[in-house]
Amino acid sequence: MSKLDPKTARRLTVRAALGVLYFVVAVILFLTGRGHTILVDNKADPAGSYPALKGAVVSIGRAKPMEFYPGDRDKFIVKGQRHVLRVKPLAPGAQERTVEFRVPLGEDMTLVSISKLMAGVEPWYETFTAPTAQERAAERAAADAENPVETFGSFGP
Amino acid sequence: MSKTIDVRKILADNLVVVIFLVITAFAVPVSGLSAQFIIQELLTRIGRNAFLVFSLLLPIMAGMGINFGMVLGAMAGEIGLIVAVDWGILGVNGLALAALVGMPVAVLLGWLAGEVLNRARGREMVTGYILGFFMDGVYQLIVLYMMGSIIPIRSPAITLSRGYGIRNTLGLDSVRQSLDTLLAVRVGPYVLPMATYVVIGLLCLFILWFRRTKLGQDMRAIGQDQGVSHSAGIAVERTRIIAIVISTVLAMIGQIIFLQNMGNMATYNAHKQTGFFAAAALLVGGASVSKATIPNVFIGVVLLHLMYIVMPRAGAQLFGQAQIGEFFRDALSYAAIAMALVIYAWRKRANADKARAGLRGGEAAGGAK
Repeated sequence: MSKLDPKTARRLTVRAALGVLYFVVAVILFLTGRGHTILVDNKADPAGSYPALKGAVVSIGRAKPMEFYPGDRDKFIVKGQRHVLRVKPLAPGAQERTVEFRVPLGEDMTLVSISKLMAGVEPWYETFTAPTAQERAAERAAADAENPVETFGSFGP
Repeated sequence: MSKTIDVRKILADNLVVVIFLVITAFAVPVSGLSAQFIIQELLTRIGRNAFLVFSLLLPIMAGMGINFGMVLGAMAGEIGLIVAVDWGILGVNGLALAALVGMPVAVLLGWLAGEVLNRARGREMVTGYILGFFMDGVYQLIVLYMMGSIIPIRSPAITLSRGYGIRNTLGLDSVRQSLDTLLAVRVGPYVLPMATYVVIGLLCLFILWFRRTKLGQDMRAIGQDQGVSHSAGIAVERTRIIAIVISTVLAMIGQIIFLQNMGNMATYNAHKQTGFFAAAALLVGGASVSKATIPNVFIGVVLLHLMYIVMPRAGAQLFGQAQIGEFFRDALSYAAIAMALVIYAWRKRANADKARAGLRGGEAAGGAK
């Protein structure tokens, strides 16, 4: 096998290093810039095992804090995977709670229940998958099939 | 030593600039827009468009005329943005990642364009223009049919309801104005997108530095005379390809900067007019197809966009219809390109006549001096 002359070898090394650097920068940008939607929910358990908070100020990281009242749901859009959630109940004398949590890299939406968190119910955050338009249409069609609607001249849609 | 000022020569050299100045000087007061509004719009549009116009400088320096093939770079930028939006990368990270994804695509397309233009020597501009149309078809094939079927796309929000292909309009909420607002400085009533200006400033420095490098000197020599450059040992074809590759990569970055400012992307149309607007701005700024400088870029962007800002309102004030102003500004932009090409051809012929007359020892046959 013929040996590479030093100039060619150096050129190839520099090019390979640049290629690796290019890839590393892309990975860093991906990991640090990956966005996630955190849905914060303040709803009571329908079975009654935990109540909704009467009022709370919630912040995630450096995002602008938001107020939540019973039944509220709103969203924070955050960058990166590791986040600090701060819940400050508006009731006088109530303890503020700060927790750190991690969103998996591939997850787009996470549902955080502050009522579960404050009541000590686990898990207080879970993956949320928004239904697509097709899924919603299929649900509506199934509901219509179960309860046919009377229309002019015929039955059903 | 006294110098006489030849007004006719100055006017002839800057005819397009003078015409645009006269038109806008007339349209600004008619439009009734406030100076503050116009200045803020201009400051925004300089940040939005200047980078794209800069991408045309190097091919002109290499004697290849206006690189209408820059739309290839714009397409690469759009592919990068589609990927960044699909992966959910927010802010400046999203823009940088879009540029990294678009870079190999732009280099490949630029290299292909350079190879084609080397085979169409002397007809680079029209070849580049048609190449843009051809690649638009390939782009549509990739984005409309292959994305979501062969090329994996995660987000159903950006795919068509049939399950593959990208939607006609792509919301760029995740990266919207992220560069403009990264370092927005308020000076009195005006907001300056300083981060965008810094990027444009760095590009200016790069162009100034590049002109002094061996490669830059080679490009200038090729722009002067390809035959002589070849005889002098310069790799003419390779240098021309490099000029087109750099131009395509810059157009890719320019399109990303442009679209982040707009905040949404017409997936199948956003790139179509890119070359035309950039060329119009450069020519309005006083450049020709054989010579363009950094000041030409800024003068052109300011003048062309000043006209774009005031014309619809001026049309509405004069004729009761903003649409007339819109038609007028489009017509004038095309006219600027046509006029610059005609003036270039006329001057080239006049110079050739003059050179021939000089060889015969007689007077110039007239025309441009």
